[in-house]
Amino acid sequence: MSDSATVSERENGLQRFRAGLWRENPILIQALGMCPTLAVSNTAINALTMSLATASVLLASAIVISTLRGIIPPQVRLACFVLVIATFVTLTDMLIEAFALDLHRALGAFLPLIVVNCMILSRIEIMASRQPASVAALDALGMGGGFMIGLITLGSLREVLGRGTLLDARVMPADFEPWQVMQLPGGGFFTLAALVIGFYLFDRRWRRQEVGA
Amino acid sequence: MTDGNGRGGIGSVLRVQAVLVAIALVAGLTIATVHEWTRPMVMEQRGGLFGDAALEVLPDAVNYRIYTRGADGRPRLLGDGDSPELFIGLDARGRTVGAAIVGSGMGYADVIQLVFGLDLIAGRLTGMRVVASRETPGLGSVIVDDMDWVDSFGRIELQFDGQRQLQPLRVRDGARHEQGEVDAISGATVSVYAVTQIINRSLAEWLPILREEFAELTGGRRE
Repeated sequence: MSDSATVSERENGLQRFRAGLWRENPILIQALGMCPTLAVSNTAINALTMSLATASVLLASAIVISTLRGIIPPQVRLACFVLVIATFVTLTDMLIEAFALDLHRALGAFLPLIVVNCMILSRIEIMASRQPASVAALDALGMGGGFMIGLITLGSLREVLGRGTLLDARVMPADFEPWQVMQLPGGGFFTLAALVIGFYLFDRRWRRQEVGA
Repeated sequence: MTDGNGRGGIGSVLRVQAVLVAIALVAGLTIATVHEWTRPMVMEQRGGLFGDAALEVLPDAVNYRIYTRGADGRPRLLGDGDSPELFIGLDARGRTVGAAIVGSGMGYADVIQLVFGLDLIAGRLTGMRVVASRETPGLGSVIVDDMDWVDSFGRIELQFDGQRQLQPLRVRDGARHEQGEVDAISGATVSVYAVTQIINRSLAEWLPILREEFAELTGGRRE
């Protein structure tokens, strides 16, 4: 029993991992967690830190809740989920404050707001509370990775166009006039819309090629 | 409902409570442990930030002495594990150029920590910087980002009555800084009032101490 179950568990987990990265990308397809997506994606480093923090909270919460799923009563499951997620958010917040105070100041109130990120709660409710820890962890890694891909792409584009730099290193010509709007919330919406359209067109073309082959 | 059902119901409720309490206890213990571990690191970095802010709010200072308050309420030089409460700014020749006071109080979202500079001879503030806050991005966060408003603290003159009693700073639209007024900002009312109250409270607390101890704190006259 255990061998075939382990193989199917691993396949299921790997499938969930790939889905999170691409076909069910939380930002570009599911449009989840838009608050931090638009608020802290003005530079690549802010986007990287925020997405790393979110992915870490998702991974840790998924493993803990999946492990405890047998003892959590269904009547209070949401309270337990929020308690576990809030604990990991608080720990992440304290660790970033201790080791990277400047980044902590840049991310401000958005770090504690990870606790209400609907992507995390949805993955916990859909996957972690029903699947073994290995599948839940791979699903969380895929979703966290997909969130990072979306947020870092958005942050990099906005930084390059809005400041002429990438990770604080100048990448645009010296006479480049930064597009100030890209650093404002409006620029975040605009870039996200362009990214979603680009992602959709690319994905459609890829699928057609797959069908053709 | 039978007795058996009743006991089952109570048992079920107790089990639910027990699981919730157990998870909450483990969560609380973990947070407390990590808090105790990271707090010294955060305070050390904040100490550096307070020092940087002190140099910004004391324009003529290139160095400073850091003080905290002892159990008797009198200022003493900062020791290991102490929190900085007062910076005495020194110029290149080591002469005192003013005091920078660390203040804190509740803002809209969380505690605001700030440093403001004081020129006792001229009777005015020399600047203010918020060192830590979690005010709403785009609204209350102007207390950090709006540099026109932040820099306006360097023009605020303290007001005293006939008995040399300090009059608190007031918040007002179109503030007259030379009359001890702070500019109001729409959308950041609570944060602006919080900053003003923190400064008023710190001034009321520190002015008598500074008047009494400043000569000693400068070091020159003591040595």
